[in-house]
Parts: sequence; structure tokens; C-alpha cells
Amino acid sequence: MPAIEDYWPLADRQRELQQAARQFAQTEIRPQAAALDRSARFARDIYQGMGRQGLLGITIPSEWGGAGADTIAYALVMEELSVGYASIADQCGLVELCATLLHGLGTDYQKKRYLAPLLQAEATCSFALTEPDAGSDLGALVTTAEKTADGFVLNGSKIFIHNGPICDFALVLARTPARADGPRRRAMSIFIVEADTPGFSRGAREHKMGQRASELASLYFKDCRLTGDALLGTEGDGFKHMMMVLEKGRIGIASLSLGISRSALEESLQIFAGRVAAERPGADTQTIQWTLANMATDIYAARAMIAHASGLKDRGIPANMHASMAKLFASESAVKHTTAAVQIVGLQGYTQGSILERLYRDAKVTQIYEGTSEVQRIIISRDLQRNGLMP
Amino acid sequence: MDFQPTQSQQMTRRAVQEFVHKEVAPISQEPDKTAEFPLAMYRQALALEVLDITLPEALGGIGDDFLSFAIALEEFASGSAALAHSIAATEAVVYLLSRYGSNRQQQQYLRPLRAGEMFAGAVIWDPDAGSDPTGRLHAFPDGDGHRLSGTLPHVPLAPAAGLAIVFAMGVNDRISAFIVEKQMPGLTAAGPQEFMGMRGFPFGRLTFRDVFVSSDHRLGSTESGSKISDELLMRGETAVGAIAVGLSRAALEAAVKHSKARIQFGKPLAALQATQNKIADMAAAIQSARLLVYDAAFSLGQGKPPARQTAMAKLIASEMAVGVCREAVQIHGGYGYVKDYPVERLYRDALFSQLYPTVNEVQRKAVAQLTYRRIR
Repeated sequence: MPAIEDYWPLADRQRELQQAARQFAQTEIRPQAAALDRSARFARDIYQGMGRQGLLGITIPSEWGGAGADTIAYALVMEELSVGYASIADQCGLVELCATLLHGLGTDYQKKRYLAPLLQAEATCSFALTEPDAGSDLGALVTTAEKTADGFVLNGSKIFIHNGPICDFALVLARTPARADGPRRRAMSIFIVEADTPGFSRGAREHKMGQRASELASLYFKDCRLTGDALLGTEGDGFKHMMMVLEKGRIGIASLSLGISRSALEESLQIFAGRVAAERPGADTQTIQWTLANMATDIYAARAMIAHASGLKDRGIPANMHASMAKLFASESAVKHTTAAVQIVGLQGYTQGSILERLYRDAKVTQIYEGTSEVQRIIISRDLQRNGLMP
Repeated sequence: MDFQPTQSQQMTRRAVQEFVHKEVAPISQEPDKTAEFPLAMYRQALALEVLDITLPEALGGIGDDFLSFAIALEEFASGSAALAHSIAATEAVVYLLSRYGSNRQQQQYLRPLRAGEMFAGAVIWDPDAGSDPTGRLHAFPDGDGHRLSGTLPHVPLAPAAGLAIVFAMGVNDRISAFIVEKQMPGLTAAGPQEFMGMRGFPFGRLTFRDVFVSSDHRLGSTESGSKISDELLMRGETAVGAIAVGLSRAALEAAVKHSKARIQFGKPLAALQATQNKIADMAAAIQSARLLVYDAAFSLGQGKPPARQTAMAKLIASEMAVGVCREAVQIHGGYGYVKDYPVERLYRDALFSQLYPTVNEVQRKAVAQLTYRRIR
């Protein structure tokens, strides 16, 4: 299949990162994907490999250990890593979000303590927003940070937190007292909570359908005493801060979804090439041709949408609606096409160990995390009513 | 068609509902976790005489029609689709034996099958082998019988089964049906295969190396293989349709309950228009598939050739099930992706219906052919 560089000129740095990610996915990720799916464990060796290869913190300046590239490069890296295995791309995405917040909002002390080791893959992070009663509705957050003389006391819990079982620190969104000039219902702040903070604990590892090497657990905070250094960014503006990175987050998950679709298409093509070569009947039917054609069409469409949203963002133009559209389309496509791929291959694609079987399970959560499809529709529709269709 | 269920159909439904509520629902996640054939549950289900529903009275059965059995399957599947499939697979063998078997074959196999002491699966003859092109058996005449060679990659219940009904191509491309037994020299079974879902319904691979099958193990006449296989396929399609409906009902029920309990944006999800639209579409899709399945099952019982209805029922019901379970997971959000919630399993189970007993391509082909024949 033609690669993106064949029809879309990339800057040298973008191409370099894309190639590095592709190479890494082929040699380091793909051979381990099936085993990781089975063991359902965080792949520390691959994570450290990403750190060594410079595949963490794609948009973070190199002085902090990032790749110093743009959002387009980040999207390309996420796509390539996800072709290897979505759970690995998920780590890259998680680091990107946490690193963007740390770099954009952190003090020098915070950057040295958290950002640098994170981008070296010496530390692992979590991004803790969701609560048992606050999923799509973040306004319903109840985790609270009370102010004390020398800092804060954190109480509450978070659910379905990626890296929950293994993270060294978590960026936690919690309610703080409303400032006179700040938001009320969304008076929240971001806290960096280290895993050895007394009062911090983790729930049991969740058993999941797919993306199983992205470990998930609840996080609990019981009278966690935090110093003032734990506050990231402006007190009371946490919700706003988080919203700033969600755009990048959605572009990342759109690319991850695209990687799943691409992987499904590449695997299907390989299976049918084999069947045609073996002159087996039924391997070259129109049903199969149509399915493959639809997959490829949506892959190119998703890629264009992602490139468009990333390009807007890199030029400083609000990409909120376009990032949501890309995420909505790419994730729905991934679910649709992994289903279709299993369908044309038959029970062989339903058997554990087959790549398509894993992709079908991996795909579904892309419609759920980083804002469900329903939330994306709300965002798109709100933006449309406010600003119309352009840019 | 009469839409009013008969009294015996209503009784069957109620009996299975009660059984599912008491015995299946509390442990419906178990077969998925262990990937083991739910033997105890299966035997309990057989105690309801479900394998007797369509069996003629002369052979000790109830002699009811296939619609009654489809209703039972739907209810079993609302608790455990894997259990329902195991029952349907065995029922197919019981039916073939009762319809085409010799006295000896009936006497030897029917009782242990109905008692749950013996397991058996049957694999249709797929002329295109569209599902898996390697799945072909060949029969070579040899003295008083045949020698079978080839591989069947996916045979239901094969790991546990002592018996299978298979189809093989013989001289002049004629298809014959054979009853093969596990201990026959040259026959090896491998499995169970690890599937993504439907994990309590085990499959295995049967490899035949010059397996001698005497003539008293042939089912029906040498010429009748294709017809028997067609009949097996039609019953299989209808059964898969009924199971897809039952499984989808379970997903809908879970989605409705979750959407009522889950509060977001200050109200239950159920109060959101987007959720209501989903639930409405799911319910309407289930009911339309269900009517198609009942139509197919009813026609099967009338002895008319109902190929078009059964293929349509399987096609529509299986794709409906995948869509309904996808939306059920979506309504659950993150909860739907973790294994504590049944919709996580249902999403994996549902896809099976699109692949078994054949991929839906085979059903589409049948419907297209019959439609072209009908509209000239």
C-alpha cells in the first residue's frame, strides 16, 4: 500500500520519526503483540526501547528529551506504533499528554523531577480524569483537594486509569475551592501525585476485552497530603488545562485507530494473497474485493482528516472540531473494518492467536476512551453551532 | 403464518425461561472464563427434554415442530449462547439420525445422545468451501465401505464428541453422509480450538487418513448427501438465528438496565435522546430478526423448502446481533470493555453468528440465487 509520504510531502523530521516508528513497530512490537495480548502486562522493555529511540514526547522540545517535532509527526508516530500493537501506541499517547501538561505548565522543579525521567522512559505516568460517576460528564467530578497551610489534602477515587497498576506518578484532576475570578462548577486543579504518597493506593487490575497490555486499575486517594509543588498549572484552571491537551489526545487516538484499521487491511491482504496463490476457491470474490476497497478508502479518509486537524493545530488554529471528527471517524472505521475483516476470513480470524481476532477486540475501546463517540458528536455539534463549518 | 404461539410453545418457552433464570443466569460468565464445555449445565438442560422436542413420537420424542425448538434455543441463548449452540449442534445430529438413520444407527446412538452421555457434531458440505477452503473430505470406495481422507478444520463439539456426521465427495462428485466414531483407525481429533468468544462451545479439527467406514455407517443413500447437508444447513441457519436473537435480548436488557442506573449530566443515560434512539433501534432490530427466525423455523416445520427464509434469518439475525452488542457496549462506556460486565462477552460471542455454520457470504449467495430464480 502506498505510504503517506508518496502523496503528501513530509518535512525531513516528520519522515524521520515516521520511519523510526515504523521500523520499531516491525522489529520490536509486532513480534511481541500476541504474547502481550495474552499476558496482559505492561511491556517495560518495549517502553524503554521507545525512550531510547526517541519515540516519547514527540512534540516536546529536545532540551527536555522530547523529539521537538509537531502534531503531524506525533500523529504519524502513533499510527505506525499502533500498526505494531495499539497498547504500545497507547503508552506513547499517554506520555505525550502528560509531557505536554508538564512542559506547558510545570515549574523548572516539576520538569526536572517528572518530565525528564518520563521522556527517558525511566518513569511511567497515568492521566487520571475518569471517576466512577464522572465519565463523559467531567463536571460531575467529586475527587477533592482541600487546601492546607502547606499544600493540599486529596480525597477521592479514579476509575479505568491506564497504567493504574504500574504508574510512578499520576496527573490527577480534582476539585479545588473556586477562585473569585475563576470557574465555579469546573473549579478544578491538576495535581502530580507520586505513587509512594501515603494514602495513595491502586485497585485490582481490570480484565479487559482488548488492548490488554494497557493495564487498567482504579486509583484511590485517602487523605493524601500533597505539598504545594504537587499543583500543576494554575489553581482552579485544571479543567481548562486538561481541555487544551484533549485536542492532541483525540488526534492521537484517531491515529491509533487508523493504525488498527491499517493492520487489519494489511493482514487481510496477506491472507488473501496466500489463498489466491494456493488457488483456493473463494479467495478472490467480489465480496472480499469490496470489503478491502472500503477499508482502504476509509483509511485514506481518516488519514486526511487526521492530517488536516494536526495541520490546523500546528498553525495555531483551533482544531477542536476537526480533532473530534477525525477521532469519531477513525474509531468507528476501526470497529467496522476489523469486524468486516474477521467476517471475510471466517473462523480462522475468530481464533485466538490470529491478528484479526485481536484487532477486533482492540478496536472497540477506541469508540469509548478519550471521549466516547457520543461526546465527540456533542463537541462537533456545539462547535458547528458556534462557528459554522469552517475552517 | 399464525403468529399465535401454541400452548406447547408457550410451555416450552416458560420452562426454559425458568431454567435459565435459576440455573444459567447466575453462572453465565463461567464457560467464557474457563473455555470449557459446560457439561453439568448441558446435562441439566437435556433433562428438560429439549432434544425430544422435534423427535418423532415413534422414536420416543414429543414430535413438535422446529419453531418450538427455535423458541427454546432463543431462551437458552438469553442466558448462555454457548450452551444453546451445544444443544443445537446435538439436536442437528439427533434429527439427522431420526430422519435418515437406519434402525441400528438409531438404536445405537439416539439414547446416549439424548441422555447427554454422548456428544456429536455435524459439519455441512459447503460446495464452495467459502468458509474455509481446506475443509474437504474425499470418499474412496473400498470393499463393503469407503475410505475417507481429508481435513475438517472446525468441527463443533469435536474435542468431547465420540461421534460426528460428516460429508465427503465420492465417485462422480456425489456427496455422501457418514457417521464417524472417534476410535476409528486413522481419525485424529485436535482441539479444543481457542476462539475469541462462544468459548463454552468447543471446536476441534478432525483429520482423516484413510479412515475405513463400513456401509452401515453411511447415513442415507449414496445420492442423498447433498440433500441431507442442505437440510442440516437450513436447520443450522435457523438455530444460529434464534441464538443470535436470544443473545441480543440479553445485551439489550443489560443496556437498558445500565442506562437507567448510570447518571451522567445530572440524569440517567436513559433520559438522553441519543440513548433512547439506540435502544429503540436495538429493540426494533431484534424484533425484526426474531420474526424472520420464527418464519424460517415455522416453514421448516411445514416441510416446504424454506432455504430462502432460513438464509435470510441467519444473515439478518447475525448482523443484527453484532450491531446490537456493539451498541450495548457503547452504552456501557468503559464498563462495557471490562470482563465484569456481560456485554463484554456478548460483543465477542455475537461475531460468531456471522461465521457459523458458514460465513454470511454463503447465506447471501443462497438468497441471491433464489431471488433471481423467483423474479425472472
